[in-house]
Amino acid sequence: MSWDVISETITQVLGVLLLSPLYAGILDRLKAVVEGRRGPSVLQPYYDLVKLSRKETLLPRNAGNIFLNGPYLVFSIYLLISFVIPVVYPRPVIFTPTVDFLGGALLFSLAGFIKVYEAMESSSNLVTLGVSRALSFSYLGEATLLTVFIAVALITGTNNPYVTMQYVQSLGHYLFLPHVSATVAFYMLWLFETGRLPLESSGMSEMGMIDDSLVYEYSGKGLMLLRWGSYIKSYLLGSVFLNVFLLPWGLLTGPLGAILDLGVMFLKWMVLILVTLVVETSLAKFRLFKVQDFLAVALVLSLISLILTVIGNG
Amino acid sequence: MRIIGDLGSHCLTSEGLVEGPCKYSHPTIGEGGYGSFSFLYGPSAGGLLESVAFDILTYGESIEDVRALSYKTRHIKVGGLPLRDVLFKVERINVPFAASHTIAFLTAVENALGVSPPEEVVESRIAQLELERIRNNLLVIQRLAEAASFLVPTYRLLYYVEEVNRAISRSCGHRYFLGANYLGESRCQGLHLPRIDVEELRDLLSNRIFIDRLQGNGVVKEDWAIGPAARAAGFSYDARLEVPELKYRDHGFKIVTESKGDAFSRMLVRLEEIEVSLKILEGVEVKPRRFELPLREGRGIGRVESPSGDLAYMVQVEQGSIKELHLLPPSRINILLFLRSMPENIFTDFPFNWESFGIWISEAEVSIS
Amino acid sequence: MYLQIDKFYLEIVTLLTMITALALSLWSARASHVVAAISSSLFILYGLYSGEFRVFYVVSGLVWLFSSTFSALHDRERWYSLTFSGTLLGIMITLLSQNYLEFLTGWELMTLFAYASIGVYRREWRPGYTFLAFGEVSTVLLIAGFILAYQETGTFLFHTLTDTLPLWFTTFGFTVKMGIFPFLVVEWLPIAHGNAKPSLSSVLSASMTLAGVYGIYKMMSLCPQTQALGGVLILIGAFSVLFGALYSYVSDHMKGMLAFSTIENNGAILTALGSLELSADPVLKAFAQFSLMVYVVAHSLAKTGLFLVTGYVHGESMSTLSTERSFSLEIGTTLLTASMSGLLPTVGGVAVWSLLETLFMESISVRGILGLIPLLAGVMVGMGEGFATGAMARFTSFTSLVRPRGGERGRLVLLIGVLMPVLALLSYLLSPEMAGAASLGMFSNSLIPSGYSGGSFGGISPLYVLIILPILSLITYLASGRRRVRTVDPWDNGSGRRLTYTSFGMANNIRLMLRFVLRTRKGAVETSADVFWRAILQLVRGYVRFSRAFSRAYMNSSISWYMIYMILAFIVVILVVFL
Repeated sequence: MSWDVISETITQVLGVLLLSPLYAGILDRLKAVVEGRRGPSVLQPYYDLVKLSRKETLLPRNAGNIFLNGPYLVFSIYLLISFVIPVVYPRPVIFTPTVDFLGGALLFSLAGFIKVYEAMESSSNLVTLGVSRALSFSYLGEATLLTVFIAVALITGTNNPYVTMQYVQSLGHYLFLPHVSATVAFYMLWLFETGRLPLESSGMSEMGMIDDSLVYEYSGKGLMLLRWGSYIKSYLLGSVFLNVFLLPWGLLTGPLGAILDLGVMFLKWMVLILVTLVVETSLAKFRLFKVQDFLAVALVLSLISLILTVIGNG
Repeated sequence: MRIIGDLGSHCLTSEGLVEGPCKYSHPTIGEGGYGSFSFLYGPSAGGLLESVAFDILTYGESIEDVRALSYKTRHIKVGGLPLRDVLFKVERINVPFAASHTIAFLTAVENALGVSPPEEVVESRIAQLELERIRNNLLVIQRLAEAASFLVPTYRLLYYVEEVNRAISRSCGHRYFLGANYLGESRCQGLHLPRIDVEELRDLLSNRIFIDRLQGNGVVKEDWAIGPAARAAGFSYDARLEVPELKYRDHGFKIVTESKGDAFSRMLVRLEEIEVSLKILEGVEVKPRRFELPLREGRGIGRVESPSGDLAYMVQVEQGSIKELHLLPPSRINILLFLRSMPENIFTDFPFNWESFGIWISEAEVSIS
Repeated sequence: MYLQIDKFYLEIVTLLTMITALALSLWSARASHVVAAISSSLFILYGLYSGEFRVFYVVSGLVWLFSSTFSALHDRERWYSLTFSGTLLGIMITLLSQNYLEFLTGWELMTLFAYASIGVYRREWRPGYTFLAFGEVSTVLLIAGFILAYQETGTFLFHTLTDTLPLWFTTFGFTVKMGIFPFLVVEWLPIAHGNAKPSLSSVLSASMTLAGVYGIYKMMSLCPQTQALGGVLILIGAFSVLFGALYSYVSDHMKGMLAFSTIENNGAILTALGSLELSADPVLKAFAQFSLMVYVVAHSLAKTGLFLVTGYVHGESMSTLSTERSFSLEIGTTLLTASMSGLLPTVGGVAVWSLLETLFMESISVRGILGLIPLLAGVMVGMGEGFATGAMARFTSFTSLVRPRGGERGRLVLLIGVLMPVLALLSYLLSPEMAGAASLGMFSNSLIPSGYSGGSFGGISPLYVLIILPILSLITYLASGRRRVRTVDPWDNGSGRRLTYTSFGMANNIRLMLRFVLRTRKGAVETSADVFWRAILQLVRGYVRFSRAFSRAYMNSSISWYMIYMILAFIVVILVVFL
């Protein structure tokens, strides 16, 4: 392990940890502007996290170990994934080989699994309502996550995200039809995984909750970790989308490059935020069971990508 | 003849009072089989504006049957109180419908005393009712858009609601018409029309996802329905056509109907009625005016078309005081309709269906004695 | 030579101990179970010394050890210990068999004892009939395959074959026993397993179906490679994963849903077997072998644990059962279901990961349209895993998470649960190769790489996940400072009501969303789909009816006849084994 790798690792992980709430703040602010409101400060997510960290933790009567300690585990799973995939720095960093793309997908599933278990321990009706919904979509969600990751793996012949990223940088590979359809599928999946419109929105109505219900009984530090965790998750998936699918170019190498990469990532994220801004402010929320159709379309798109690749190979 | 609803121990119909409680067809009550359970929604929920709870019989996500549980009962004692005190209370039963309530009450009193108000008062009342309707319809559509997380229209509609509130405030001195009507008096001075771009509102209908959430949701075609719910199901029921005291026919009133009877039709009716109301308002002049109310005894009924349907009061007046007072709030009928329309839907349809009826619990659960 | 003799004696002693357990059952149930546990331990020891089939032996032995320990603690009926140890003996003979006859003898013995056990437990023979009927189908196919093999080699000894036909026949015979598509439609596995005691259910679900896998694997090693069978197995397997998991998701019968999940797992194992048969690439084959073995380990042990969980629950319907949770049960079930959901860092995660990598590598390395088969299978497996996660979450929720706290019990479940991450570490031993990346902080041999002849594909390090996650959690815990905790009632709209949601309700979204697949009627699910499914269903029902009539006519459905039949079969077994 050289010092260079260590400093690059630190930049990547700290970059994920500290900058992920910012992007959520920027998107919220821009949404407010489009809606004709002044909106909260872009730093509001940070204020919220700080506020939550000071509050006491309310423990539902029936809950116990998993409820109390699950959030730490969920948070650290997302943190571990930030070592693994190219979300800031374009070369492997320390611990990157711990899991490949597919293993990364399994880690995302693990986080989702723990979130469900810890939520269920609170034994609340409203939580169970949302959990039952979240679970009912997971068969499409997991399969799509898997297929989009594999879509790029098949194109490049390897399951290593860093290799894939370098591969699609060449324009011929970038405009390759399987890559394009996988890109669209991944964007749709990102909208779903991060609870965005037209699939979900966090509002006042309990009847429409999906992901919100998983944190419904949480407060204080537990809620802070889960919120922060979901910012990181959104950042991780979004950055994989940007770096491996949509905009694989522009990242610099070397310890200094790693720090500059934070700026490059910011610019890339602005693109993603603007696209998402248009989607979120022009679409309404789907009827619950239509979410299934939406995900099925994403799955089929990624499947088309896979089939085209395999036929192209043969 | 159509049934409007129970008023005291009588049943109010379009032809007048008939004996006994109104005869409603019995709803089919859902039964719970294996795995079913009751899911409580409310009384203190983010998605409901007021305190009300629903006991939903479900197999999970599906709605088999819904019961409404009461959490907001209020008793208002009016017996023996002077008319002006009662007016004060009536005005505040449901402030979003304050104009409808006071105007219906005053009409009942005037009928009991055998007085017809002068032309200016009638015009002022029409203006108030229509302004209230516009505001309420905008609010209902806003709640629908919000339930669908349709972000930009949600805030545009809120802006328009505020616009109407300000117009009302400028016209009648209070955003909710409090104090605008009095015994033998109408106090609104001049009419300020809210600036509403109806075409912009119609843009809502171009969003497929939003429409999809409303179409086929909460179909109800009972012939005892009232207000927008009845008109959405193709019934030309409207107190504005049926009640002679308010001379709507002179102001170019046209009834709007749809046929499907679902939440979407109800929204369409409300949307079109905003335009109709704006047209009516264009031909109305509002001036303050007083007139004499004699000290007599009598009994009378007053009915108006509130934004959510027929609203009626029946009063018995004695020596300038109330001897008896009965209220038929539209929300009471609309709740029945809502409960009937819910089975076969799923949980996420709930807010859309609920909001589409424009129900206010405050007036539905008030009891007057 | 010394070791050889040693092994032979160990085999005899193991068998004799199990026969002792069978004999003891006439006198004391507990003694019988304890001796069965001892025999299982000996079998594990024996397995450790065996070569190619080591994993099958050790895993089976562990399953028996856990189940008989559980029975020794909880079961008192002598008839049960008789049928239980009889079933174990049958499987043991199957696994140890040196020729087709021994194999069949063990196979029949296992079927009959299991049948009797299901029948006696319920005092109702219908579930047992279903079980026996499928046992018969299976046996007929096996016999056909074995006769073909005999015709070719002229001996009943396991001998290398040149024809693939015996493999086709026996494979389908074994898949019947595993409850794989198209036989999953009749739900025989769920019906049968749902009607057995927890420890027998786990033996049936984990060990008996494993005997089927062992059978296919054994026949594959004897027959020449056939890519066609590989493709067929992959598809059938993946289909079973998807539908097994889906039905598990919507099933509200506690053991039934676990049995459906067994179908799902057997499907995955079959897919692994298929990919082993499909691939010609030796590097990839080695990896496919790895995924097969890890899956066998993961499924068998996790499923054993989960069936034992049902022993701590009153009632069989997920929506109406009552139980209390304990620390051991809760954490144990969570670990077991994490493994069943295919999540790292448990052994189930390694299994799912390696299976999917195998499939996707095959879709690259197998050229042409044939390459689409593993690809589609991979996607189906992915969807199946999604359902499985949901099913398992519901199982854990309603058998432990939402239940009130009770006394400490279920340590055995916790033990098996803790095995899940431990086995993930032991999976390194099965891996064809190991790697490291010192420059990135991964010391040598810490990685399980996946690869094919064309290059390396990916890799994971269960060890690193297991080390890093707790460390990061600890850091997070320490960094976030002390927490003040206050106990409150969960928020239910301010009404103060308790949880009313049922398990049925929790799965209902899928029933509603997939009503065309599941043919959902109000409040119920018909567990079959489409005309195609119905046709098969009719066929099989006809067969079940025939077999029931057959048994009635010849066996008069009286238990004493079965006892006589079993004693006869038992004598035959003894003769075959010792002659």
